[in-house]
Amino acid sequence: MDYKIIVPPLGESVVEGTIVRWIKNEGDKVKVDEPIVEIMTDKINVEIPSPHDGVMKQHLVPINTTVEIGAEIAIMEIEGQAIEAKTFQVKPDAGPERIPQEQEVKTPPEEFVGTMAHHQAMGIHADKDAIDAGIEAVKSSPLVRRLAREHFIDLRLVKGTGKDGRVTKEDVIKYIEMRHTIDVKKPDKPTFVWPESEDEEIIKISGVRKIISENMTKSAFTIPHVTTFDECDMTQIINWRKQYVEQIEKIHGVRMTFMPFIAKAIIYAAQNYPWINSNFDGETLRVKKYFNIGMAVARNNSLIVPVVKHCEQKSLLQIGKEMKALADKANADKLSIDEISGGTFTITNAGVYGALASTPIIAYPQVAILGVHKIVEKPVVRDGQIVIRPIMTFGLSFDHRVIDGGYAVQFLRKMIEYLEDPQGWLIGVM
Amino acid sequence: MAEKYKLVVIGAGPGGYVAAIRAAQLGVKTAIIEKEYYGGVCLNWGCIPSKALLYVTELKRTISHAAAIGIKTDNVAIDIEKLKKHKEDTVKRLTGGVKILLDKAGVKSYMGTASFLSPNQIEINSKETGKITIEAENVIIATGASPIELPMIKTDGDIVIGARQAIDIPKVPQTLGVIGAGPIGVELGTVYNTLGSKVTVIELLDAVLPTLDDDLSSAAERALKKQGMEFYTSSKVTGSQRQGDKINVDVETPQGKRTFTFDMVLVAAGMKPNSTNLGLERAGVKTDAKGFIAVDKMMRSNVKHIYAIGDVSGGMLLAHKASHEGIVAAESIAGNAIGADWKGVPYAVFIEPEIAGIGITEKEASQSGRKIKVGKFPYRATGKAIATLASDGFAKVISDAATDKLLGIHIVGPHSADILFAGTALMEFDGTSEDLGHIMAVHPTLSEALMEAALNVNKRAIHIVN
Repeated sequence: MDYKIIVPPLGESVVEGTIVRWIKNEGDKVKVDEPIVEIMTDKINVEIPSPHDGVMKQHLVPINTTVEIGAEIAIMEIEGQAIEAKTFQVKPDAGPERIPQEQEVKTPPEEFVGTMAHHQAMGIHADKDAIDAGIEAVKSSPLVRRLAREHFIDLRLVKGTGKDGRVTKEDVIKYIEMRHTIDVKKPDKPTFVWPESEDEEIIKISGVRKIISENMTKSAFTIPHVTTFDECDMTQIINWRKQYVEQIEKIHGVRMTFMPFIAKAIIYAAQNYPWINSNFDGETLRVKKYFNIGMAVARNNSLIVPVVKHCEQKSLLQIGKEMKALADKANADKLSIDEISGGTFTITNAGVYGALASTPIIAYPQVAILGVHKIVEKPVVRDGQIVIRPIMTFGLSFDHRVIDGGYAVQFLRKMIEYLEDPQGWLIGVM
Repeated sequence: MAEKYKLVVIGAGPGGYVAAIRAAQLGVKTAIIEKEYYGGVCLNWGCIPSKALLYVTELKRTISHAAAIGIKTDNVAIDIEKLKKHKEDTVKRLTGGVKILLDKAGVKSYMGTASFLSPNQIEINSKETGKITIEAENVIIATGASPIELPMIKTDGDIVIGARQAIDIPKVPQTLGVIGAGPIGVELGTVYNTLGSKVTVIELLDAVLPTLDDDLSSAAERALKKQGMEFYTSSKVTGSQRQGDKINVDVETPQGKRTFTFDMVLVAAGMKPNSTNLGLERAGVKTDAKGFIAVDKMMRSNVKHIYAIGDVSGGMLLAHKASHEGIVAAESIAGNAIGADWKGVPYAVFIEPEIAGIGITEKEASQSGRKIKVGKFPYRATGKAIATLASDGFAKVISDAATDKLLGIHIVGPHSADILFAGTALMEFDGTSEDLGHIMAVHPTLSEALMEAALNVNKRAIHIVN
């Protein structure tokens, strides 16, 4: 039987990709979840896993072709016997006892039993609680509930067309097809166009730049941004770092920047201000009990935000190591979709370019972003004396729909207090 | 070197063997460990043999009706040995079938008792083969439950017995005391009553089948009393003394203290999980205060590669629930997405009249403050019931007051467990009582009673005054 391979959803905001390499050539045998083709997207390169066992019959598009999500790119011959082999039937004249040949069985991952590798790789799914709640709340059927678990769907988001709003199998299938395109609606035509002139360079905005443009627009026009600033006396942190940075690098091979310290201070401060670390979609606020901290990295005229997962469980050193590894990967274009998704809070460092202050745009649907700036020596008053101290201005942009001004200001102050007096929490880190 | 398996199932009852077969179907290298008999309590001493015995009760009812419709039946008597043989043949055939199914599916069977040495190592101990250790990437614990022992009346294997012994009918005593008016107590009480024993049932709570609504409980009590059984509810056994071939049982009844003298006593006072002696502590698996293993929707315990299904994981202690949970666990282990997402677990009590149901009771609704609508319809208002002398019974449908979504169905009367299936299916589809009323039941069948009960929820039943 012929089976058409289509380009699966490649992550949020990705509409198309370019075929870089056919991993499985025509005539090759293919096992389920084995990579068959490598596709380059705006963000990263993805190896597409095979949904079935079979044989690669025909490539429908050559390499270096740009294909949209959902396009047919190859035909596979599916092995009929492979499907039949899974059906055991008891026949009265069946032979002696036998042990089935062990097949490749997927190990259930920690959070999602039943995650198929190729779904996981796509990175698009509701979390376990949302799936459970959807199954509980929405009228459906046993089959639909199975589909909800298999495809990580929160049934509350599916429009039910059945009797009394019941979600049917067709509704779920339609939703699966639809949801990948939700984020990539083309913006409406601009109503005003500047008159053309010869004295200008025309640059068509496309690819990553276009995605960045769309994301920024979405965030800026969805979230009412407010930015609050506060100054941090970095004396102690600088001294501490100075004292240990060489030693740490010698032992652990990682040169500690200030970023891991800031990440830790955010986590400590958020204990009192938990809403800072959450997602908001306009209706539901999901306050996260874990800290996946994204850090914006500039990379040849584009921007990418790798995410350090579960910072709350990691040591300063571990965070430092992972930040370094992710930044290296970002520069080498080696990040996976998993490594750039799932962020709960973002830090962006405009200080590396010399900025003294900035008002960063929040990474939707997060509710806050911290702008990190240049440390400058400034005269400040301590005990009635003017002294020179290394000062950093932090800028915290927050979503004013869910975060009040006082809340954000106090969070930022608290975070700064942790940075200004780090001795307490630094003990035992080495 | 220890044999390695992707899955090891502990216990070959209706949960364990189904899980093992499903896992093998999915290509998982599976072993199953059984300490005693394939098919567990269900096939050996529970559901199946009791139904083989209860069939005699059903026949007796049919025969007793036969005279009324013109069939002459003289000298009806029961040959106990033949009845026992029927029961044993039934059990043998089905348990043998289980072993064949396991073999054919390619599941490796081990006989012996299992205990964890570590989260991934299981020791199997048997007289024949001694101790062997196997390694398991995943484990399903399906060890079931056992009857609770009462300190004031200990089973002695002679005249104080549990259900497992009672099912073998060691004798037909003149007088039988049954401690506990739950499903096991009334079902086995019914068997002995039919065989000629004078059966007295003592229940601590205030009703026969106390988890059910009053209308069902009293229908059961009324019918069983009519058959000659005696009931003492809200009554507590405080002590017992053996006296020769008999036993005296002291009971505090609402009317005062009494002492009953029985030839045999059946203790059926509840079940406890078989979670001790498994070495769970060496695997890190936690149990609740009662010993049940807490699990998530995928039937996983706190240790993520160790699953627990059926009675040992708590909830309703029913074979079909164990089987379904076994399938969920097997699919999870094979990497498939499926959860224990059913909307209800159906139950049945196989007495005369048969009782079956699913979902919440009126009692539960009033305790939780849930607003409900209730519809009822008597069997006797259906043509089939009258024609076949099955008019003793009724169907009850409970739906949400605001949305009309089906919340519970309870039926008492002949074939209620079979009739229920349509209602169970509709509940799984989140149907309303109106839906159930719209679905055609063949005329004339007893299922019409369920359809009309659904119509009665919104006062639309045709064949009664609403």
